Amino acid sequence: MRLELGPFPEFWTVVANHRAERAAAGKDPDRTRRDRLRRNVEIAEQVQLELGDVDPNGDPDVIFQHALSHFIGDELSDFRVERFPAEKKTIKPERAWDRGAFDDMLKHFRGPELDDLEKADDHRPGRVLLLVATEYTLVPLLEGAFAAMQWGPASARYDFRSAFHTVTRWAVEVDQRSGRLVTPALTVNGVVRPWSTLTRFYAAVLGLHRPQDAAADALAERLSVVTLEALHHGFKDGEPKGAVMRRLMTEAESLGVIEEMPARAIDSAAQARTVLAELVLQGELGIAEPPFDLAGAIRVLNAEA
Amino acid sequence: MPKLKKKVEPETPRRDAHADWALGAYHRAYILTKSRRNVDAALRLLEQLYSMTEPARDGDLVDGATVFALRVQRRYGLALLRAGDPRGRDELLDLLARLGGRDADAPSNGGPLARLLSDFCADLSNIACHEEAVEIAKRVAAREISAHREARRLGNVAAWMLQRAVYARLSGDADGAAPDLKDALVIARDAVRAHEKFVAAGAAYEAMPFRESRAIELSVRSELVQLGEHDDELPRELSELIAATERAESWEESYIQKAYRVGRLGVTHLQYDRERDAAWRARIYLQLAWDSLGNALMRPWLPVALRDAMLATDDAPGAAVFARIAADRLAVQCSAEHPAVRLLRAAA
Repeated sequence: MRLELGPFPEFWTVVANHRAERAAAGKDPDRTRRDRLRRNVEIAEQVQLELGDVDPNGDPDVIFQHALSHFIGDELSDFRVERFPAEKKTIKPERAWDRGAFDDMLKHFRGPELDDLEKADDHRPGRVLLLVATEYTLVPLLEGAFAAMQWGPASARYDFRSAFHTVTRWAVEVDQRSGRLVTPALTVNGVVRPWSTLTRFYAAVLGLHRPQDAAADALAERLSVVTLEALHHGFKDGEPKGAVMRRLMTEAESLGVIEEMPARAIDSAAQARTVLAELVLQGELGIAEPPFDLAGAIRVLNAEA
Repeated sequence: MPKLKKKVEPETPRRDAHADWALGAYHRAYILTKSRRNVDAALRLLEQLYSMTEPARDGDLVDGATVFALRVQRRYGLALLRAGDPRGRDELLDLLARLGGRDADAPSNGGPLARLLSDFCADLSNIACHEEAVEIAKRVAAREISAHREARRLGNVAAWMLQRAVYARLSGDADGAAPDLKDALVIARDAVRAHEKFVAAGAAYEAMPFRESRAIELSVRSELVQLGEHDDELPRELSELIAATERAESWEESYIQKAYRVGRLGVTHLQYDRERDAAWRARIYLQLAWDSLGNALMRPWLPVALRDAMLATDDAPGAAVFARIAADRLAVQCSAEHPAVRLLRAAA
């Protein structure tokens, strides 16, 4: 069977919102309006363009503040003027763009993660714009990884390792700016909130292994937060991507999402041998005292074999 | 005339996502090739990606799509080798030719190509293209890169020089092996010191690369002992390194990284013969290392040393059976002309 790579629309916030709206209205949720998809592209590309001067290197919190400054306050940015021109000409920058149209447009692209932010200085619209642009570069990678997972299934351990690897590579290599600013964009009062894009992806991966599990959504949400925290830590401390991966796998193990690391040897005969050999080694290194003369026992076993 | 079905466009905001979809699938394949149990699954997926990226393989080497296509080729070749298929070696040799052979290099704006070259040196060493591995690794390490990356690449240079020296020793050319080992020791110690500094400066995550560079240093010293040098500290330092590895989180090092350290400890038991049951301990540790490798590519010194340990424990029949199995596997990876293959075949 040939591998067909293609989209998983449900990973996109704009599609997820549209489906939820249609389902709530009693309509077929699988039909997605193309104009919303097109607008999503336009917004994402404009935001990426607007952020062209934001250096992706350095402290992620500083990068976030710089990125956000393009979309908050009274400063007039190209994004605002081009996308939301005011109906009347004015010399006051804060009136040179249509704030109402801006808020209205964002309605369809908002995820649940920031919907409770009411205060102006929470900067919900700016955060949402950053997330729209961030999703734009990440989701196609997730779609490719997920298509490959469905095409050739493996254990939960290797599926999640693939998932974490894809996200980590995106943040560290593919779109370093988005990788750095996504966690601050989702941090409110010092608390990291789950990113619905990532949560939907992890829920889909979990669905490959525990389709009936009622706890899957909560686990996916937890993994979403853990991923954002691990990336942020990594960027803050200058850790390599391997260190971020180790954090994620350790956390996934402790949540019971993936199995423990597999045994050292592949075939069962070798497995028994390696267990004994590890005991001999630990005895020699002084890590653990073997209960009897293991080297002698192995010698006897080999002689009998 | 039959009515044509209207083509349904996929619903996605990213119609231009094909390259990213392929990259996402490649990430999946990469992880599958890290697993010793998923080689067939990795191979199937890589076959698909290999065919998808074929047109880009002949492109400009600084072009992102070409570098990606060559990464796929590299991974495909490795998966074939792990599946015991000799076409894997041909793929890697073809990739070497595409990259420019021994003169392969990356321009100053060719970061992705430089990373591919650096990774590829490990494969070249594994398939016994030692001259190319060492030359390219030295060139890549000399690029302007971060201090952390430079330390890692220096460690790699030392590791590939070590493997070249092992090849010379197994060929009976001790004089050829010694200069490489002495140079490798200096380079490995530089890498150790650099990682030590990073750890002292608070970079806890540098503990793993520090241990890896120490492992390279101690392996070089183990080979020097094979050539007749005295090194009274080696067994103790190797034991301390393995103890530190055992105490680390299970995720910090792979079974393969641990395997070679334990294998080297086994070799010291053969070299020093200080304890009761030394030969048995050597055999146990070398067998543990061998079992840990599974279907991963191997360093040729390991099966040769394990065969020696089997003989040292008076198990000539076992040694002959093992030598045949190991030689067959090693020939797929390094060709039948490799001195380790010849040694093992002669003993089988």
